Amino acid sequence: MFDKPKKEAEKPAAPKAAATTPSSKPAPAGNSGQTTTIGASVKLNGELNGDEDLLIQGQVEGNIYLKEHNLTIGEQGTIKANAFARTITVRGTLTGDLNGVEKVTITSTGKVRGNIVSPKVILEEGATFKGSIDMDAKAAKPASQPAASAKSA
Amino acid sequence: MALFASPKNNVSNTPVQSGHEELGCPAFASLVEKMDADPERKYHVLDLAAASGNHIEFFSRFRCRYHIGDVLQVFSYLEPPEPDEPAADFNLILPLHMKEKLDLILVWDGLNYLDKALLPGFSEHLLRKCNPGAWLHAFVYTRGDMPVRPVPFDILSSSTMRRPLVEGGVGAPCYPQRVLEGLMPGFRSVQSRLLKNGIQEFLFQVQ
Repeated sequence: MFDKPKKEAEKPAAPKAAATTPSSKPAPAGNSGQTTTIGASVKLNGELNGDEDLLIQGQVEGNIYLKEHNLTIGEQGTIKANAFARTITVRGTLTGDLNGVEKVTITSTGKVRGNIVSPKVILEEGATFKGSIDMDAKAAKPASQPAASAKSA
Repeated sequence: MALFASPKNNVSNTPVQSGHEELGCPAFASLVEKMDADPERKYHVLDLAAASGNHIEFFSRFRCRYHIGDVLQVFSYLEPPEPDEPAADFNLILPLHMKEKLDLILVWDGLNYLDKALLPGFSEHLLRKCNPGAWLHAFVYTRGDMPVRPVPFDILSSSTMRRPLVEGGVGAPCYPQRVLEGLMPGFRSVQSRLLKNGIQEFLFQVQ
C-alpha cells in the first residue's frame, strides 16, 4: 500500500503535439485560457509539459507537468503518471502521484490509486481512492521538473 | 485460514439502511483538542475505513499526511484460524509501507469484526508502525447486536459523529475494556465512555 508507482526505466520520447487537438470545451476548474484536449483515441507515452490547461480523455503513461495550469482527467481518461499542476480534477482513472498546488478533486466517477500532495483535497461521494494524502500546504511543490526538451501538451 | 470466507452467518452483503443516528464522541473531541493544541506538528494518520471526503475535509484542518487503509470491509470476512492453520497475515491484508510512523489510527467499528484470535496479530502489526504515544480511536458495540458489515461514520463536529442505521444484524463480540487491552498488548485505554446508544468509545494510546 502507498508505494509510489514504479517508474519505467526508459520512456520513449513523447509524441508530437500534433497528437493533441484544441478543444472548444472549457476545463471545469479555474480555466482562464486555452484548453488542450488529448482525445479518447490518443495514447501517449512520455513526458508532458505545458503552459495551458489540459483535458485528457485518452491514455497517458509518464509524467505530466503543467506548472501553473489546470489538469483534468476526463471520464474516459486512463492515466499511469505522476502529475503536477495548479489544480487537478480526476473524473477517470489514474494510477500515480498527484501534486496539486491549489487543489485536487476526485469526482464521483474518479478512481485514483497513489499519493496526493495538496493543501486542499476534495473527494466527492462515490469517488474511489487508495493511497495517502499530504494536506500540508507547505508540501505542494514539484519534486523534480523535467528537462526543457519535454514535449508540450 | 480462509482469508475471504463466506459472509458470517450467511447474511446478505448489502445492509438495508434506515436513517442515521448521531452519537456524541467525547474521547474523539479530546483527541482533536490535543491535536489542535500543537498546530505546528505534522500528524501521520491512518484511517482504516474507505476513503471518505468527510473525513478528509475534517482532518484538513491539521498539518497531516492521511493514509487510507480501506480494510474494514475485509475484516468482516476474516475467519479465525483453524488450530493447524497459520494466523492471518496482516502484512498482506493491510500493508503499511509508508516511510513515516503513525500518530493516529482511526479504527471506528473495525475491532468488532475481528475475532479475538486475530486481534493480537492486528495490534502487533499496527504497533510496529506507531510512534510512541500514538493514539487509536475505536467504537465497540456492547448491546449484543451490530451491523452485518462495518458502517461508515461521518464526522459532524469534533464531538459528534453520525452513523447509518441498518436493518438486520449479527451478534457482537461485546469486548470488555480489560479483554480488549489484553488482546491488544502495547495499547492502553486512556479514555473510554459508554455512549447512550450502547456503543463504547475508546481512545487507546501506545504505551
